[in-house]
Amino acid sequence: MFSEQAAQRAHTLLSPPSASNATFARVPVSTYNNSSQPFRLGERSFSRQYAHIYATRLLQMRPFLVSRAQQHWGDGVQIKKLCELQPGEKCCVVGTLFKAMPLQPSILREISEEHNLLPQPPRSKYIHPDDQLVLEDELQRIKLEGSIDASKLVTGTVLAVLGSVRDSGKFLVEDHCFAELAPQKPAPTLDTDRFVLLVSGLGLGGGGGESLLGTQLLVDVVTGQLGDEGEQCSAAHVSRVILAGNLLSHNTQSRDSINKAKYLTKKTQAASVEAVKMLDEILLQLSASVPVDVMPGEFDPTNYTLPQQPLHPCMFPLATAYSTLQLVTNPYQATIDGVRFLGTSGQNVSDIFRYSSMEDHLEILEWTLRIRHISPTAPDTLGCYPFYKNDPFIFLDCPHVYFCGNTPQFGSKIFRGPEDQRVLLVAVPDFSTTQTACLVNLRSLACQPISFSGFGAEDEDLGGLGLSP
Amino acid sequence: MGRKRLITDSYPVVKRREGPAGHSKGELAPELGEEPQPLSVDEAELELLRQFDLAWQYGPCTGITRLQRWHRAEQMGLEPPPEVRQPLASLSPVRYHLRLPAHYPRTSRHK
Repeated sequence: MFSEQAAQRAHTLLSPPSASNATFARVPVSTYNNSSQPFRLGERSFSRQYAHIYATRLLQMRPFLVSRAQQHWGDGVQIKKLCELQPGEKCCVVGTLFKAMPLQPSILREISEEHNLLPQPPRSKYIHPDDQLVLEDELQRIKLEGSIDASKLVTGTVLAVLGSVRDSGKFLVEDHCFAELAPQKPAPTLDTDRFVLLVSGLGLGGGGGESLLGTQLLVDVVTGQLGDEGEQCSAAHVSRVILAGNLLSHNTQSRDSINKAKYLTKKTQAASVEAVKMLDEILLQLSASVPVDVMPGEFDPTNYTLPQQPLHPCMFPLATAYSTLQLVTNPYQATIDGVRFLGTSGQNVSDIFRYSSMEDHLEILEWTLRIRHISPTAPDTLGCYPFYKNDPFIFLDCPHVYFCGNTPQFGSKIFRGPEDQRVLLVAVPDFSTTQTACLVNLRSLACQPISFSGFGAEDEDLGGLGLSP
Repeated sequence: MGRKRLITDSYPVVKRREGPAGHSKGELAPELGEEPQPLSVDEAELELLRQFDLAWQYGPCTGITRLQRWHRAEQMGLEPPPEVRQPLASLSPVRYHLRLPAHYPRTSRHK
């Protein structure tokens, strides 16, 4: 769609300079509403334990699961708590899942002398055929067996199981169901094409020149300095840019200077200082032309626990002069021209990837939407702030566009819910490796990848030209 | 204020005279005699707050003040008893708002 529009206009690049120049005004954003308030933390207190977040998660999700269970298995299904179970009686139980995984890295096992274990190297997946599922509710826990696939599920999921207790004390599962999608407000109908550009994983400070060229090309396309009038006209339809995390490369996080002697490291700066200066210049170019939302990611200088707080404006002295620059939280939730966006920088999806057998990041994204929770592994294996009042990662209503950043490849899909909800799922790829960004069309709710690459002096190219020896 | 009540007070006393007057010899007699007397208003309120802490329906009670827990229960629609809210609103925060572990009977010591 983007390039088709561009191709329709006449070519004007190689024409003599004219007195009148075509200018294209960017489409104005008619309504923008940042609804990430639940992810903003004011005064933080870490003196609480994580039991509160699990208790509120179960309390909030219970009514959704009870209604889904009644829809699936009939109104007459008995919903009981674990303490009320009778052996052999078929009933439904709602609870939080815990997966006991022998391969899960456990600091206690590592430092325990009786096991004599060497520290495990990090693996890409920690699943094992011996993983055990346990269901917990407010007071008790019970082991699950039966027709439930332990490899796909992760700790922290709230679900409803139908089955009965065996004499062995385990619960034999016949069927299970998730909370499925939350109610969704209908998407507005727009009259013109408006695009939102989603980019993630710029990876500045990584040391590679390739990705810098790609980043500069991206900025030039968005600001309309690249291409003919056709491309510039299409670029004027981009109403917003969202940078979904990992603006800095993981190389900026190296801690070599800690191990070296003080006299060697006295004058060295942290690698992230240079990278942030580069980021500031790029943001300056972008925000002079288009509203930009910057989300922090795993390697960015902000807090580690979810929800990550916005990057501090003092790091961007040049770019913060423009009011179009918005530093937002991770996860980020906003309504752009009536279309609800919700997304993360990818830590939730990659954590589920490590502890489940699901391979495709888009499939994991869809699964988090179906269990109605952004990040179920949150306090267990992914750092999380100890909330006590409510769990802000539960979907209270369904977004129109749900994205996650830093995936290995681009993926997009329209997912339909049981109550006619329509969600566009976008897996935004890592820009530093794939040089690909995503363009979401707000009018048709479709997503298109856009790739940037330069021609390097590689042997294959020369071979194609017949110049190699 | 009197001695702290221990769970052993409810155990039957083996070597004791239980005369009609009740306070002839030993220190234990006055404490045993105190049991049926009504608790003062303060004590009654504290007891009510402790029962609220131990009620499992409202979630974990450690790490947050009683007022925060009451508000959380109300927002979740669990209908916490309003008579717990009253002393929390009016009385001094240090005494009534935090669950102090020392007040609870040490059940872990007995088997």
